[in-house]
Amino acid sequence: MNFAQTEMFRAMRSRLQTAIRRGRIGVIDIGSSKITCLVLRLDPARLAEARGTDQLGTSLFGAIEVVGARTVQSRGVKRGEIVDMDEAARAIRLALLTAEKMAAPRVERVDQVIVSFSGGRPQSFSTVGETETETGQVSERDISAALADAPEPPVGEGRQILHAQPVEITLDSQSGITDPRGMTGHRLSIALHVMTVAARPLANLMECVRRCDLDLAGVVNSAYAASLSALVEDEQRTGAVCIDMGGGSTSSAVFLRDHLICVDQIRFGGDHITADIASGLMMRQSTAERIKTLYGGVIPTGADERDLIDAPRIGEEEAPERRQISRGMLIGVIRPRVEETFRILRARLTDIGVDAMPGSSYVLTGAASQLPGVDEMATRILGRRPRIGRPLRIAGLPQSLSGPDSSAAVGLAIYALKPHDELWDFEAPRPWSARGRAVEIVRWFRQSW
Amino acid sequence: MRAVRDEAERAAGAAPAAPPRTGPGPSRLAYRLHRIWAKPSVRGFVGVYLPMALVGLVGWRVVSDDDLRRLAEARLSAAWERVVARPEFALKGIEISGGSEALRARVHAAIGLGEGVSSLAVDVGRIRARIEALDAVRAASVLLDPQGILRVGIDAREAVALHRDATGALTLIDAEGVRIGAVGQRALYPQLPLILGEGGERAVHDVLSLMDGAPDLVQRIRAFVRVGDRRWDIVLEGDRVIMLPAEAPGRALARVMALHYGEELLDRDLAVIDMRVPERPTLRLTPRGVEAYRLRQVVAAEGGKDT
Repeated sequence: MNFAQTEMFRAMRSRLQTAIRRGRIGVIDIGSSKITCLVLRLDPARLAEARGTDQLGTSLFGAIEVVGARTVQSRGVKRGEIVDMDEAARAIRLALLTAEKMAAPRVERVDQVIVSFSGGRPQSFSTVGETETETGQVSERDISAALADAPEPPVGEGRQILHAQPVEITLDSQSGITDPRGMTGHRLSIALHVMTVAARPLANLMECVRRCDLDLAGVVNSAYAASLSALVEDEQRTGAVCIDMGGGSTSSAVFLRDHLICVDQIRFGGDHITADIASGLMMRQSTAERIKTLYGGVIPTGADERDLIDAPRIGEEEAPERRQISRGMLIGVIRPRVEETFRILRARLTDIGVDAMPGSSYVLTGAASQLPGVDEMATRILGRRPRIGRPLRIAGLPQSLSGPDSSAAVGLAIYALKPHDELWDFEAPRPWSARGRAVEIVRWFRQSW
Repeated sequence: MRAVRDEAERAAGAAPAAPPRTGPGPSRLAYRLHRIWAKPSVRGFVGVYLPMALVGLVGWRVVSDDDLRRLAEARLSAAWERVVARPEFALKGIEISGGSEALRARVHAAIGLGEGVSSLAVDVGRIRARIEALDAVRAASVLLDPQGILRVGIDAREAVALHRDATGALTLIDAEGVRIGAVGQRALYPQLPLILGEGGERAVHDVLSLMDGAPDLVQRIRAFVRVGDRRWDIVLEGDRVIMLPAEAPGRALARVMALHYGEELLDRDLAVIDMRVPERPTLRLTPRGVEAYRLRQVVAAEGGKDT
């Protein structure tokens, strides 16, 4: 499989390497309701050491430290896609500048950033490439050949690949291989998980980052990023579904055997709940948002009818006698939307076949998962009790960013530390590499005659 | 919708072309300036090298242009003068301690500063050198204290002898042989020994130790005469002379004193007691003494003949 954007992704990877060498990188989670920017200080020496000694990568987290953090209100972004380039760029600039100001005495300014992308209707495909090994022992060349052999999935018009990760390597009949190099076998097959998004929103996002004079060191799907920090390693291995309930959309990312195998998105999120409250109960958006966060809930209780909430109608905010509604009314508005979201989610997960996956756990994360009773609702509809996933604690993370709403931002930081291998990380070996020149000549003769 | 609102605003007479509403956040220019400023190299350049270069440039310009330089020098010196002339810096007084009254007066004259001179113009080192240039001063300390008082401490030389040089001028000298001051008459300092002869002033310590060694002799001594810058003659009352050797004069003098105590040597009619060869003291009689001696011998001979 070969596609047009390979070079672009390779350039991003080299920028990531540059950032690690310089010891500082920024990550920006661009969401529909908030933009979070973290400025990270990396310890390149420690990073290299940990990479060399620890395959699992748990000791990597000591090599990273959050030195600047800032969350600002997102503007010009809807459903994770840019709708007003200037406004969005302005918000990103504000987040970055203030985070840098916080980090100023510790690190220089950051030039490379990793951003999250939550829009573009992500779709997951699976494709398998196979090859016969040349010498009976798997070499880098064989892996490249197998990857090149994988047929490109039906990406569709106006869409492009965002992630393409090898998830399953099989050599002859042995599966579950993590690193096949040097292993003996004849038939090497590699299964790839390919995630595609709409090309134009992605291009808009990249342009927006470019307008902030930043080098893009990676674009990561936000559900994937959130699951990197909200799922613990064992969950990633035994299989888990991370449901990232954001402002503009609810995404699910399925992990199995340490790899992301599927991403799906439902275009309902916390903002829709707010909009429901605002229109259903005739309120300002801001009032609705405040009431939702302070009093919102999903599961009705007997005391709800006696709980009265100040809920002024539009234009009556300053009036002497304001309307009051009961908490039951509020829950009555919120509940259908959440229920609908989970029903759609259940249908999608059933399509994928996750409910047949034994031992897989459900993890709710994202800002909307803080709504009281959401986990109970999920238990009723999805059939399994989820846990609320908070982001992994990394050094220097402020208390305000330790809730489930900042999983994606922290996940981006973890992605910067140990990105999963992508298709473009496997370079086709140069035909005239210094080491294998004689081997190359022999090979050429053998193949040609 | 927008059109309807615009129309409504126009009808209400609202100011047209209001700036577009934007959320909080830096403009692109401000953002870029911030980020450029965030680079340590830029910060270092603007904060250190640029000012240094500017100062250097201005300095070079001033130095290279004669008129400008002269102007700058004049301005600077005028400013300096104004500072120096301020009453806060004026010298309040001079305090001199140590030495005699007369010496203090001489030191005061040597300092040559009056009250009211700016203390910024006082060069303490030079004043000290000037005071120490006085013969009577061995060492001096000069201190300008923060109250504007010049404190001078003097370590005066102590006169231990009088010296008469080849021209006949009398001077006071201290133990190191340094001249302290001229003296009109010997009689002004009767208690000090008189030293004559070439090189005598350089061996004052010999004189002092000789005088210490023979306290009974001191009253009789008129002068110490250095002979050939090598040895001493002691001239006593009545022009009697004790010639001392160059080596160990003290021991020779002690021997003379022993002879004196035993034989009343110094009360006899001797002109010279020659101790130059210490093992063999030699006496020279006065002419009168010789006569008396001969007379006595004749008397003794005749008396002997008689008996």
